[in-house]
Amino acid sequence: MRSKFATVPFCLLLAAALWADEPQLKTVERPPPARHGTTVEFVGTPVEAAKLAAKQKKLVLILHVSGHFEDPDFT
Amino acid sequence: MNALADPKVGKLINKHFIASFQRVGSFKIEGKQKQGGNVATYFCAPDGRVLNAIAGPVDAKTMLEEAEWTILKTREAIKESKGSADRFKTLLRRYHAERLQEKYGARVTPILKDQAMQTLDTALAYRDADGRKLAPILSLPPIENEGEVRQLPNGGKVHRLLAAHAGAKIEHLYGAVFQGILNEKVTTKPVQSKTPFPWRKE
Repeated sequence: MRSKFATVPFCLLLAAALWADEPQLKTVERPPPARHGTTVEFVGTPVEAAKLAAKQKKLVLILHVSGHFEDPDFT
Repeated sequence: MNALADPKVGKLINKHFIASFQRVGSFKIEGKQKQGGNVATYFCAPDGRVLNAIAGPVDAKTMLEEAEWTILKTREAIKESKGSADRFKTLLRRYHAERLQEKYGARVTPILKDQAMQTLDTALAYRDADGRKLAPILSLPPIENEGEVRQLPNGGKVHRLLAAHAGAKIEHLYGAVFQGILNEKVTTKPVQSKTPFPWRKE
């Protein structure tokens, strides 16, 4: 019983903390696309690319590579 | 990667596509030498259905040609299909069969109906080094004038594959391209190096 009542003010505090941070959370921006040494702008993941493409009415280009595309020594 | 460094390629891709990448294979470093490794490019609809593909590294001219063909034929297919997803897929496969004949002289009949759906558990599959199934092995339409056609280059092999499977999702197709056409092992393992310090003189 004691622990159950103790969680109620904790949850209220947590909710208040989250609500207080909300304006900051809303202003976090998506990082700009990276070019990785090319002239093409790459977004982070294929899922992100698909969402953006649907929004902007574009197609999607996916590169499948061996190694680490971000590092030219590993592609 | 040279094609992607070309400003014309960048301009066209950035205008009509949202680009991303995935690592599906690995390579070995022995001393300073890279062994193995490759690249495949997929032009897709936003829902992941493959419209066209390029197997292997190509020059800027080829990349531009394939990207422009994809854009043109997608627009045509959208217009002709009048909102029917099945009709759109059928048209795409016909276009690939036509391109295979025009560019490489190989004649195939496009496969317009998908085979019965199989899961990775039931289908033949490309496996990683641990034997885990990663992607299904896909059937190809037979070349009807086989005697007249020399060995198909990778571009022809892609059109032959897409004459049967264009419109499939990328996760269904990538094994057939990366391993089936490029002979690269699909893997989730990291880059393998004989030495952890490849820049040091041995």
